[in-house]
Amino acid sequence: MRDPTEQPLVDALRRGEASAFDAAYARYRGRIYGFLLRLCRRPDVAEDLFQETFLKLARNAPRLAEDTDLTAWLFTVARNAWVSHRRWSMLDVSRLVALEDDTLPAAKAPDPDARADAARAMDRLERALASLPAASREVLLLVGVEGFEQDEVAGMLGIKYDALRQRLTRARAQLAEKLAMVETLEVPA
Amino acid sequence: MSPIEQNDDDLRALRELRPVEPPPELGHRVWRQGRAEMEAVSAGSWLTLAIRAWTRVGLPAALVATVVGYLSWAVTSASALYR
Repeated sequence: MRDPTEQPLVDALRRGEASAFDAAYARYRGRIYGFLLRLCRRPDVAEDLFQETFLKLARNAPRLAEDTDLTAWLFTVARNAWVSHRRWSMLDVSRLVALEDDTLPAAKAPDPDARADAARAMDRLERALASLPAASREVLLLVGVEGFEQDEVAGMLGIKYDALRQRLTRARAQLAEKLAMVETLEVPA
Repeated sequence: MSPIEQNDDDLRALRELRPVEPPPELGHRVWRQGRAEMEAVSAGSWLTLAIRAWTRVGLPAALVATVVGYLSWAVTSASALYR
């Protein structure tokens, strides 16, 4: 659902006010960067796509429609940038090796301060999410992490609502399976 | 309906994942570039507006004024010849 507090921001962006860009950037940078980082799992790629997303906002601000849902617009642009990047990566033979090596990032050394159960649960969730196929990660990030409505996500991904439901069901089953695996691996021998 | 409203613990847990702030150097660079783009686009849009106003209003008005002025002068001059 569209956030009603977005409207003044969209209006200011349409008028080309630079301060509106500052406000939009401050409001969405963490969500967009987190989304991209979790989606592509490579900080270097996430950084490029993050930059591309916000430069696109700056260039297109005066052409935004009056009723633009800015949150959905930004996530759609970020997601499309990632899809486009993946497509080009497939054509670039030199990157195929990197893609094949696109496995889970090396586990971080345990933080002595992060001993709380909640922190461990979040860590498990992050790792389980990162190990899912891209299509499943994408739908869980948009529906689960970002809380978009399913019909909105279907629109963002360019698929039908029923297809989105199927993809979400499959993704949740995969996530549950991966979480169980991660938890099993953590049980001390 | 959002799946989170359907009491799904797995999706609810996902909501607990926090946004990730970009590294400060990247964050500052993107902000600086975005702002510069925004200012350039705004300046561009004012120029576009000014050019559009001139070609759609200013130039036709100037042409009409010139034609009307010339015709007035021509008629006045021709009348003067017959007097």
